[in-house]
Amino acid sequence: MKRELVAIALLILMLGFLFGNLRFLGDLVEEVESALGRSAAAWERGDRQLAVSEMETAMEAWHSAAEYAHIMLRQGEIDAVSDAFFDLSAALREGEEKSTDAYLRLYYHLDSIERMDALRLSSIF
Amino acid sequence: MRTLILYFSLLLFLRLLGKRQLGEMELSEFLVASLIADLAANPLQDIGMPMLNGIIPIVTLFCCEMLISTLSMRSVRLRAFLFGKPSLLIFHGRIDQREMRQNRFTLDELMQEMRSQGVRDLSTVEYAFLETSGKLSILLYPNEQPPSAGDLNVPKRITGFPRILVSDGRLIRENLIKSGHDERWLAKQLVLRGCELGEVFLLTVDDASQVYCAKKERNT
Repeated sequence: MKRELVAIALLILMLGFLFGNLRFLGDLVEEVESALGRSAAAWERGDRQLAVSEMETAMEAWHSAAEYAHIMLRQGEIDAVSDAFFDLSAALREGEEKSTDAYLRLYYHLDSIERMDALRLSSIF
Repeated sequence: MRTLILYFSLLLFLRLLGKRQLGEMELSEFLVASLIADLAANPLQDIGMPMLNGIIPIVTLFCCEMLISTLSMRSVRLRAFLFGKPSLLIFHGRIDQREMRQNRFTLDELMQEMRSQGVRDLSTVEYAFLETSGKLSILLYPNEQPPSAGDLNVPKRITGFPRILVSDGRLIRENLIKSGHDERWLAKQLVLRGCELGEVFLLTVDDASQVYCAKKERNT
């Protein structure tokens, strides 16, 4: 009976871990995306300095979760987001129109990470 | 490092699942065993995959298998639903062709199983069960069964089972105590056989104090 209780406890623990992870990931993506949102808004207003600063805030938020990312996320996903950040940073510093594309790409990768781990039919199947 | 962690995790979980996993497996057990092996291999092969992607599914499967095993032990219906029931392929010497068709068990397979269990003549078989593990159990007619010592009124010597007392030169004290002997008795046995403890490869004793001793070969 002990083993069965341990099995049930482990399942409950993993369920808790799952919801905890989803929440943490959601908060992380939200934090990064809100900084990106401010950066994009600043860019559209023509405030390049603020756009770069907010982008760097977003990048910092992403890098602060590096340990979590390396434990929980696939390396391909981490690389995709990091590459998208570098591309966005380069685009902002060059002041190019493709900054809009760079923002969209980064949003896409971040959403993709959240979607893949979410409890949805599309992520399960 | 990943390999070591996954290997010891697998070892621990399979050990906790019990001996049945290593012996004849039911369907769910076979499923778990093959899935676990595959799940463990993925993070080993792909360094970009988090190790938790292997460990968490393994733990989940282990827990589910543990619970299903327990529930099926307590519920006959669930057991029948999950594992099925044994099928009687031969009843009173007659082959049940419908059962064979239902189980997709061919005549070739039936004859193969007969041969592997030393049965030459089908007419000697009273019952043949296709167990849920896929094994065929054959029961002969009483007249066809080999006689036992009791049938022949042959007095049988009670020997019990042999306990290993010395394995590769090392004394297994627990077995020595369980066998009802002590180290003085063991020393005497070794002297009788002209060897020392370190020279013994295997030494066993049964309940009738019958000793078997094999010395180590010179090169080992």
